[in-house]
Amino acid sequence: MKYFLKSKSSLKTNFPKKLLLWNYWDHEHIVGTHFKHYKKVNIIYEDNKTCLSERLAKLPYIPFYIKTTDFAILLNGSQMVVYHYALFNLLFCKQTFYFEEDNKGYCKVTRIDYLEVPRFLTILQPFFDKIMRKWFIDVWKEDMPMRKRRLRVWKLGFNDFRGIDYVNNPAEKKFTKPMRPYKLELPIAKITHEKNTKSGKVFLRKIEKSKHIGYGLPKL
Amino acid sequence: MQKKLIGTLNELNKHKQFSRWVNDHDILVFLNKNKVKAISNICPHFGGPVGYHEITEVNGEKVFTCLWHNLQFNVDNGVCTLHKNLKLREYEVIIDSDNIFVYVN
Repeated sequence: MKYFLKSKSSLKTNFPKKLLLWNYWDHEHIVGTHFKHYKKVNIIYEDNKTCLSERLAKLPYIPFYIKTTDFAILLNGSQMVVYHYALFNLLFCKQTFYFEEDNKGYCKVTRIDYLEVPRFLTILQPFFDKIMRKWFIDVWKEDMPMRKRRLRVWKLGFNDFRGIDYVNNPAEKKFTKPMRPYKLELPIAKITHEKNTKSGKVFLRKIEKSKHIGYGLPKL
Repeated sequence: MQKKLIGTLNELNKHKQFSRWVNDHDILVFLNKNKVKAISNICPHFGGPVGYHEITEVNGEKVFTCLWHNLQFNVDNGVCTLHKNLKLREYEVIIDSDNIFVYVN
């Protein structure tokens, strides 16, 4: 018989569901936005519904990096599941994500975590629940400025790999069209991986320590 | 083109760089070789903040590193070190006493 620790976390935000899915399926940003916790991601295989990757991650309360193997599946437009294996497959965790969008432009994200443990470790349930909830909130807080900025530039006419036309070219008129529906195409095209790697696409953290200047000063 | 106030020398002196949205342009103002320069803070890759981290030196080249996906841009010319076709726009800068102005469309 298998035993699992379980935790459920949930938050609601005023971003389109597709933008949140972009955030979760943009595996490259792990070593960028979350550079404090991850230093390498190797995407071994990816298509429009699945992604197999390896990550060097510093998990909550573990003071060193561990290698994880992660398999993400987009079951449908509102549900994804991620299987994590670590420590020579001794550690197995499953996460299920649900995305519920309402007609007011809000989307609720619910994550349910399961960690397989031997029976005697089921006493750790309260501790597991606490750290997984904390992790969910910490990652959410790191991602929120990214989502907010992504939506802002999208509204200004941003195109991936090109930027904003009126910014690039002073002769261009400002983008004045009404809000475009957010577009998501999976897999997300990638250009920041290391060259000359033998298998997969390897993304490395470029900043060890940073003096954070931040997302910008407030409006004058 | 309009002349817009983007900040002050006092703000710049704090970290030698800052960014701010002006007229729907996100502009990164920084000191380079004792000159005040201004470039777009919007990474043309996915729109990340180019000036989130302070300037670092990589193989003798001073660069900004976009927070989101680590693309790096040369501080002298705004060209991406990995993909030369990606370039950050430079804005004209005017200093008037303590104020820093930029020209935006």
